[in-house]
Amino acid sequence: MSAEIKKKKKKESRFLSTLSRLKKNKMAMAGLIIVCLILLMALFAPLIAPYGYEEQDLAHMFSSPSSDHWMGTDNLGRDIFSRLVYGSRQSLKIGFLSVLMASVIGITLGAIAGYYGGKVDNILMRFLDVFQSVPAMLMSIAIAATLGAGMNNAIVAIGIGTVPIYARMTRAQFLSIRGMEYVEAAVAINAKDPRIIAKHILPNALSPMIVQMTMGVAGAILTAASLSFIGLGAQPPLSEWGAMLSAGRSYIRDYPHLVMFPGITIMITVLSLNMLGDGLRDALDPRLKN
Amino acid sequence: MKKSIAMVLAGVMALSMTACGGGGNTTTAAAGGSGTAAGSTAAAGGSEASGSGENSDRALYVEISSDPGDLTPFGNNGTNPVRIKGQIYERLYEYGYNYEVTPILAESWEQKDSTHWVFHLKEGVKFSNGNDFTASDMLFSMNLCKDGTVMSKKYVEFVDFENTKIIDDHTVEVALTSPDAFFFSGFCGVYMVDEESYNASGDGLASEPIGTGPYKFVEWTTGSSVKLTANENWWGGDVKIKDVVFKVITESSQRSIELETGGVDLVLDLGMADYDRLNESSDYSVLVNDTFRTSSIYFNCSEHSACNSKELRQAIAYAIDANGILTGAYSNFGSIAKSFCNEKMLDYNEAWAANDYYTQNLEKAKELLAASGYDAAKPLSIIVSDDPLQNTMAEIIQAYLSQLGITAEITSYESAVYNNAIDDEAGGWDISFVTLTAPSCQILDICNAFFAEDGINRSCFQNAEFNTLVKKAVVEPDEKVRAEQIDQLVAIVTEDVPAYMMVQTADLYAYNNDLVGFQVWNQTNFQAKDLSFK
Repeated sequence: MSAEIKKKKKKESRFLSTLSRLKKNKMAMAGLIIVCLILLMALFAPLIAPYGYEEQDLAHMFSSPSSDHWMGTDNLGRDIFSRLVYGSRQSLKIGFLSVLMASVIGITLGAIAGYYGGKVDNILMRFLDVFQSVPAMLMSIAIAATLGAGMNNAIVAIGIGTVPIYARMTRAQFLSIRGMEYVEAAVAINAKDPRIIAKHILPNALSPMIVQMTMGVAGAILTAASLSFIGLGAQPPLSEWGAMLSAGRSYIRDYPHLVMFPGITIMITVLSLNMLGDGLRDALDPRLKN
Repeated sequence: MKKSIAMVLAGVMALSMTACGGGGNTTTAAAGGSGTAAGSTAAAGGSEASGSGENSDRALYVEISSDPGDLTPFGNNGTNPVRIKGQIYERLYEYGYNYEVTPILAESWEQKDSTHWVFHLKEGVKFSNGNDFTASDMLFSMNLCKDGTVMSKKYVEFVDFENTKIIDDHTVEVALTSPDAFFFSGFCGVYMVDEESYNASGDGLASEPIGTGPYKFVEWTTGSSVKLTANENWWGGDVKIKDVVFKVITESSQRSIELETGGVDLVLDLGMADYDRLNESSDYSVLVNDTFRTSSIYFNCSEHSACNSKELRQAIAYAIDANGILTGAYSNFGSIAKSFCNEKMLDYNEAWAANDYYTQNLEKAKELLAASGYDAAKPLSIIVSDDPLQNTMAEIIQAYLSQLGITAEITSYESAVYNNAIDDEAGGWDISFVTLTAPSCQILDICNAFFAEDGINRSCFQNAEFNTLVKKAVVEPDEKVRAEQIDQLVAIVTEDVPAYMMVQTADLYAYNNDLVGFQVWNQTNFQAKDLSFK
């Protein structure tokens, strides 16, 4: 009983110390707050958006920002603010799910390669070498073009394209932790490999992963925007920030608000996630700071 | 410091997203970069030279919206390749300015009877390589058409090659297998090709087109530009502008920018969003040209699609407000179609417009939808090419269909793949887009080419009465009888709606005010030989 309490306290203290370090980083906190706000916006989109994202009003195309339409309307008279609010659902969905997919596959492969080493490591890493030799964006485009346009395929394309990053990081962590005394102790008491990997090594290797995942969401949102920009991401009438940029680019000279607001939204989201990721890295491993 | 850099980098990333008209733009701009500079220099040179009256050294830079893809004489006959090929190759005659028949390599012609035509060719015409153009080249070109693409086969569809004969070096008698109302309008599609060069080229003149036209081919940088220079062997004498460079500018908004920055002198595909700004400027002229084309939705009438049901097609037509398409997609350039036919068509009958042509009526649409037995749980598939205009139309139609409770899914294809997708009626598509027109500018030609069972019937429209009537009408010598038959054909396609005509389109052109002589040749082309700089 007392051992459990101690373990819990230990975990809490680690979490609290990380949080307290994070709190001291104003930029990271600003990033966290903005990310939370964007998440809330996505969650409560129907309550926040004054219009439907697909609601067309051909009598009011290209309206400038006004009290009726805070960010104006697009080429089909759709409210840009409402489309941005609903668009956060698509952009965040792509961002989080693709990172989740990439990290699950990448961490599993990296853990196997790092723990077992030898031929397994060699085969997996050479396979990932080949995979990584293709630029991530090109890989995503190739996969999305093969699977076809659409949200789910974009998630798969971005996810698969970033698997090597997580695999390599996990492998590197495993290689350094593999030789620690507590791992050797676990091996000595005949603990099974999956238990050693999951209980002893993985928790101690996760810190850089968390940072990478936070940054990865930002990267995935940008890649998704790029895919939508070239027509391989979200399909109409779904609103997605990159797709909004793409649709508005023909009118950039006369109606810049069509691209300005989606562009700013992408910028703020990516910036916030990067600031948060940067702060998390400092908080999780203070030695890295400066 | 690190965070500041991160902020700046993130900002740059977001801005680069905004500007990433992206990869495509950069490629075009980079390739056009040298062209832009050259264009500007040349433009300056042109202005300086205006006093001396020497313009031939200033190159003409012309925008085209896509790479021609194929410059073989009878390969891709899309708008952009034809704009280039039209300067290199020549035909016997063409529908030229104001769509008037203009003799080119044919001095004259006469129709001996309903199945025999005699063409007298111009003498002294040489190809750009110096070879003489003779009757045997004409016959060779006709044979190339016969063995060419689906489109080129149409040019000589009714030609009786066994009985077509060369009378002398400059006279050919063309025999037809049966009377054909569209022989003359179709036959004008045949470019005259040098037999010797074609046989020697090994690639069907793809890498080095050789024709009798005012310009000859110099260089083609795929995806970037095509350069032509004056053909010193041209029978028409010297042209005023020696060099013509076609610059590929795929991004609509970039075209007007190129014009304003001196990168091009002539924009053949001006974006509708740029019209007002250029029109208000005193430096440029903008031309709005009503076309013979009608922007339409094309139904998959095969058994593989729910649109096999006539009632469903009618319901969809009644659900759509063509005014919405005109406003939302075409920025009010053009006009709504009042019948199954563009009113500029030569055999257009004003009486057709007196009848209601699917004016939006949601009540009627709902009744027809119920009668069609369509299962609304199954979404309809709209396929579009990567053309933004088609995407916009698809989104508007998607919204109209939602008012009937129909869910429509939009799938976008790259242009080349799009055509293959339409050809595959079992591929899962229900609605696509097509712009209908015909070289003859006759509705009968459209019926024959796009909806008859022997035509390019991508909609898989089947109506026995229609097929019989089309066959009769195209060989009917009596114009009055043919007009009655066309009336019946229009009634059938209006009732059966294999395609729903929405907007009679208009093309927008813009050019520098120092460019003189620009007019639209044929439907979407121009003649560089008739242009000069002030």
